[in-house]
Amino acid sequence: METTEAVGAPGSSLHGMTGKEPAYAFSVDSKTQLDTNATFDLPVDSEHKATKFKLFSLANPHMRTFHLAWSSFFTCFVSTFAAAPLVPIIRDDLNLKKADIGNAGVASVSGAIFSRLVMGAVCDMLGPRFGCAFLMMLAAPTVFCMSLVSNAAGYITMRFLIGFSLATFVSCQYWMSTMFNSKIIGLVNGTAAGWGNMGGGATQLIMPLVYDLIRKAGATPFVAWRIAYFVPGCLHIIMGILVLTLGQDLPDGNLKSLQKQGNVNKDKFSKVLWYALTNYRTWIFVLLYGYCMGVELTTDNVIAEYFYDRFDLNLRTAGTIAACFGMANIVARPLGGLLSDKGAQYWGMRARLWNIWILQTLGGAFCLWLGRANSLPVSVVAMVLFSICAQAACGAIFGVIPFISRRSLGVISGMTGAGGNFGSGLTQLLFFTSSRYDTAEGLTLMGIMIMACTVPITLVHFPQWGSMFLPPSKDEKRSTEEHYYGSEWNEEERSQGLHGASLKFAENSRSERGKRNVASAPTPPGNTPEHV
Amino acid sequence: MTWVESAPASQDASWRTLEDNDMLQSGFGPGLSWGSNYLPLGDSKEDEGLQHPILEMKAKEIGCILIFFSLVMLVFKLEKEEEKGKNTSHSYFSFTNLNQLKGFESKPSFMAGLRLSKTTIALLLLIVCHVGPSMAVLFSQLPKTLIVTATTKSGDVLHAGEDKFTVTWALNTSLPAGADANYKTVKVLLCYAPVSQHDRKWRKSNNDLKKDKTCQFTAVKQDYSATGKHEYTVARDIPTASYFVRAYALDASDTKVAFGQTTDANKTSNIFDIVGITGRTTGIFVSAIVFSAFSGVALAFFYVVENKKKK
Repeated sequence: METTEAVGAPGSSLHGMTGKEPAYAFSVDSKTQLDTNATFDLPVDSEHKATKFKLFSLANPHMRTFHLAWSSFFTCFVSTFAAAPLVPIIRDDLNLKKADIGNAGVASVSGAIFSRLVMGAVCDMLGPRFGCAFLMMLAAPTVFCMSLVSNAAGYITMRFLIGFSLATFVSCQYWMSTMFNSKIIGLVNGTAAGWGNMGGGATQLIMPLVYDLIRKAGATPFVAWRIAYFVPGCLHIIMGILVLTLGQDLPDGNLKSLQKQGNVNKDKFSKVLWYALTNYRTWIFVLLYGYCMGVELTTDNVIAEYFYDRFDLNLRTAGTIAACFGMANIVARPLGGLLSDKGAQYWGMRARLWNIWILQTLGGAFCLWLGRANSLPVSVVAMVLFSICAQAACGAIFGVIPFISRRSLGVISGMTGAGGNFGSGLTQLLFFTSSRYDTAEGLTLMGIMIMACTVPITLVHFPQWGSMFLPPSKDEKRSTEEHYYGSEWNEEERSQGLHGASLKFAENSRSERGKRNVASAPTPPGNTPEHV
Repeated sequence: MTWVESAPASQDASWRTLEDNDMLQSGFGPGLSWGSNYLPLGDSKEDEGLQHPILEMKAKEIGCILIFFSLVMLVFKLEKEEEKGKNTSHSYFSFTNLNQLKGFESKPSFMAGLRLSKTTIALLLLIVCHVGPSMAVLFSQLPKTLIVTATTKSGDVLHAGEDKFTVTWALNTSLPAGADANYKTVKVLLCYAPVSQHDRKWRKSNNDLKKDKTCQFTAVKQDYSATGKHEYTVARDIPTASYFVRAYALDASDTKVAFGQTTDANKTSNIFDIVGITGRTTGIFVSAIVFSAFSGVALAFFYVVENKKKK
């Protein structure tokens, strides 16, 4: 029995993960019912969601939506981190101290913690298209006003306000889930997130380039950086208008059905939140994501200035090197997910956990090396390796998140995302704001902190699958997936049969036992696990 | 949009150009003429700490020179081998052994390798000669032979782009004659006072002049004469901060050999302030308002149209 998911129910944007298929499948298997009467460019299922992911097509509505969603998320990253490569100019114009620069960096990532939570509700009320467009168009004035700041307080405030626009992550993922079948949603969301994050790298290229062009046209430095800020602002407006004119909420373009179902939440939000908060694994993953996505955001903020000062490069060169950090997202994040899936095929959940630990610890080690490197080539190599490992760890973490909980998946994903921003704010506050450490020391300490904060993953234990070091529980009842996912519902709810979707998910997640153990898993009658 | 007039070209010191950076970034010192720079200044036996140039070289430079010489020896050895007609069993070319074992034609590859190594050596020669003499000029060892004064007084506030002041420099007359024998140019710079360097590591003073970031703006650079003065209009791109004035005497290869400054050794006296131009032009102000308004209006327009269509 398939419980129909209400569009807009809490966490519905990520209920595509069934636990059975690899998280990054390119197309669905042939068992899915296809609607052959529909006249879309891509094959679609009964809800008219696409079942295939054709990357280089702009066909309406599915792929066009994909490209609109990821590019608006990309634009928000560009504007949030646009100041970072220009800091060497801005700090002289506004007479900033190191503390001001650090605080602005913290502010730029903190705003998103709150705005992402609000964005979920906005998407429920207005739909993802309007949610995205509203945010883009309302954030545009904040980007333009950045050109008008004249002191440290103004600078910090504007960076905080621009940071709100990072909530387009939520609208992007939500929008994807209305357009793509649940079996390929993992790959689609992962690609969209990775390409959006790439904006943090692209901005380090774009802004110094624009600044240089404006300087060549005759402006003084302090005028040029302000004019350069009009570029991300205009991008906001352009993307907002494109989303409004070319985008549509659902494959059929029908807003009405969305609004009919939108406010009917089939599950109680308070319960969903409770099960998210009381699951200790949630908090461990929040910490972990804070030290892979968080350090990525932190590095986006500090790396260009670091190269400019330490190695006496000019703005363009420093920006180009810094861009290599963020641009690695184009492949690194999906790579992390793919490694996670491959490992899970053979060794189940244990492989996924080890994968995260290895990638993130290596990332920390490379970050430490980056801080200690004294020559430019070594520094660049360390930075590139650090970026690949940290971003792959991000992708790998989202390969495990769907298995922590079925009922509270959306809330847990949201909390994890917020944890990323929180980790970034905390790290910048600790190591990059005070004058006690210079940036090189800050990077070294950040590397050590990454390695230390990755250790808690050894504590994550699933009774049905085990943990990094421990085997699954010996208890016959507790070692089933059904028991784990069913335990999120109390007796009353179970007697009403509300936990049906969780049970289905549990069946499908048996693949997390790995190749060797799947055969020994207790199978309910009439159901053969896929990977045997 | 109205532009502020661009600063005169000579004031570009703070916004580093590509050419400057290539030199700074690679840490390369002056070229082949490394020997002549570090001879003691004339008869001056002032114990300013001028040490013998060879002893002053750091391990890095010594290492480069050793590598260079060993490469040269290697080349000579290879040439000898070639002449003797040997093309096997040398530890440098174990790959040739392997190739022979595998039955490959080793002689041509050896010859090609040798030809290649000659060109590489020639290139390395150029590079190493360039690299070798990167000896650090330390500020603590520069003699303070110039007396520099400026018409600014302690606590003065000057406005960038508008106000002027005159800086005068003169060689200390109590020095023996010929002390300024190798001074070829004088460079006068605006330097940050300690209060403007506080909490700002990118303006930090460093004894190694290559790494020193205290003085980032050039007021004037001209040929050396025992006395000189210059009226300087504060450039438009000087940021808001507290400053003093320092003059360096440079020799023929543009290396700093002496200095003088308007302030004392602790950089506390005669500090003046400059108020910079923020760059908030009217054009930018108006454009920002217009674009922001457009954004809000466009959003409202589309929302209303959309709602009307639905009905």
